[in-house]
Amino acid sequence: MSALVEQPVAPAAPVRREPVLRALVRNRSGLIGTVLTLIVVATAVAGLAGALPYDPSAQDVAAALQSPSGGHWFGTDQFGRDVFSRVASGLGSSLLVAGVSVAVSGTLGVVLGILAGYYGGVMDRVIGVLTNVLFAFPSLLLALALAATLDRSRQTVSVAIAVVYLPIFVRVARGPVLTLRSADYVTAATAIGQRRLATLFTHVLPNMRSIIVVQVTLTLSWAVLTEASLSFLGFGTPPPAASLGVMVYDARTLSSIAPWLLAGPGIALIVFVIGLNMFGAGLRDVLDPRSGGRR
Amino acid sequence: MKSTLRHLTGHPVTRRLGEAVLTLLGVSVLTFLLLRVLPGDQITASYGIDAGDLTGSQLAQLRAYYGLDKPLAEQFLSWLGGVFTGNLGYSSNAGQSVADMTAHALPVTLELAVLAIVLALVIGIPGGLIAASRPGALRDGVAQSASLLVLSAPVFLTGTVLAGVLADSFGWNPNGETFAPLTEDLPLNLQQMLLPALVLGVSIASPIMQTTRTAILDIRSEDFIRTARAKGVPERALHVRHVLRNALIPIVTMSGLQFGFLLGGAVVVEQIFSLPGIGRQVLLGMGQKEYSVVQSTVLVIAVMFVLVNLLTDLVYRMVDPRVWSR
Repeated sequence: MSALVEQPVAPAAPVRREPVLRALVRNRSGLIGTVLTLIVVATAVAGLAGALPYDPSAQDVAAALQSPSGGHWFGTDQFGRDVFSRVASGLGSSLLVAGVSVAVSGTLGVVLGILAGYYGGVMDRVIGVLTNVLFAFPSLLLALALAATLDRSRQTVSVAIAVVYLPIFVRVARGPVLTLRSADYVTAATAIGQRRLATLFTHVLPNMRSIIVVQVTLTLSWAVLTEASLSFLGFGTPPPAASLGVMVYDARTLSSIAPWLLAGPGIALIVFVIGLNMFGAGLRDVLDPRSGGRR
Repeated sequence: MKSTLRHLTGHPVTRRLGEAVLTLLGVSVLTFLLLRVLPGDQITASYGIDAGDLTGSQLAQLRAYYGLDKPLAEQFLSWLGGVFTGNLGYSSNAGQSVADMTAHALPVTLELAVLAIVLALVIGIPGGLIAASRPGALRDGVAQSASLLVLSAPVFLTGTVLAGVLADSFGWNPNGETFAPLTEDLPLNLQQMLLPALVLGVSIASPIMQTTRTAILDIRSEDFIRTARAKGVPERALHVRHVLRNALIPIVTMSGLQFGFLLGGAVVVEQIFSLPGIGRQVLLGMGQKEYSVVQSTVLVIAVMFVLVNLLTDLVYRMVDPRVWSR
């Protein structure tokens, strides 16, 4: 999927006609995406804060395998645990892991990309080779290999996912820097004696903001999927923390008698990712008028 | 032919080849280091908790035996030398060399990948054509929504649901039987491959559909299409010979780029559908902490991925002479 972002997006026009948020809500994809993302994030935060109808790990054998009802919105599992509370807690976990990993890979990747694009030469070559090497591994496989060799914890899963998505940010940042480097206002800043580093952060970086924001939302959605896939394979967020991937894995054997065990985490995951994707698409339309909603 | 040869020695392609070699070297360094930065080493990994019972001198002897006391660079070169001569290590659990295991597992994954790409093209290209036939209309919206849904549903989820529904409701579970290799029992093999290939194929049909749609729309607005239409080329021939033919270039490129995703996804679907492919080999190695298996298999997959990308790039340059010299 990484291929979708490799075409560099042109830097956004500096003139903005209306506030981003208002424009985003007026964009259909943006509105749906914002609403879905808000719902999911609110649930995830409730899960992280423990503000849930039930304790996600509290067992109640008398209430085992109940189908969804007013008392248990997503039903209960074979141990009588409330599926909704577990889904919310799992969403919290995946939001945390995806958020941390994208923050790390985004920051590091953008800095490396700017350095490569702005200074060129040896720096560009070295960073280019590193990027190519990381791109040479199928992303899920690299994440797996990293997560499996490190000790299993939320932090190491975040690090593994961060490494996987680092090269995308390097490429996304490097492209526009190449054009911005020779923009008139950057030349002007250099001419009046501003230091190169200062120019980078006061003139180049702010003009890449929209590209980076869009990339962050898209990468978040991939990170959520990768975290869930790692958990499904047994190399993700370790128990007892609830995890959507583990819930799907555990539901496999019970899917004929208790399909809600599969439906709860499955639908939550899809809604999370669809929300982030639509939010990202809306942002792209709003921030980069040239994309014109074509894609 | 002569000019092709002259072009080959020209720098863009040579540079691309050099880049690929450098990438492969980096890949091998990274795979090597990946397992050396582990807390513990091959000894603690293969002896597990029992490694704690080893005395200092036993440990030192084992280290010397495995060559772990040599400098890192020397270890790397000797490992790389082994890889070049086909020595990918040995799996004591399987009682087999990793090269033999890979020789059995690789065809399974390649068959899966080829079937998945074929299915993806069969779904993605018509989907893209339908969406592009009237952009913004209902059919375009439906195709786009389906594409977004597919993009948002992870392979492990669709695989689990599909396998569960078919086994529970229709009692159809060909993957419950022992795996039938392609050359031994073709009908059973194809049944066992169908679902995993479908799951993977549908997931990459989405980017292929998007690429088809965008390419068709781009090409339709090109001058040469207007010229052809003005010349009186029938609408149907125009679409097949001029539009679709040119759109194939980005579609082929996109399919090549999706190969890496297929290899990653293969890890998941091979696990769900019990296919003894290369993805399962990695997972088993990880589960049993047989790091030499993991290391070599990951290396094989990455090398394959780099080569497919290189090939896609070269084919792209050959098909579209405009990018040849870029």
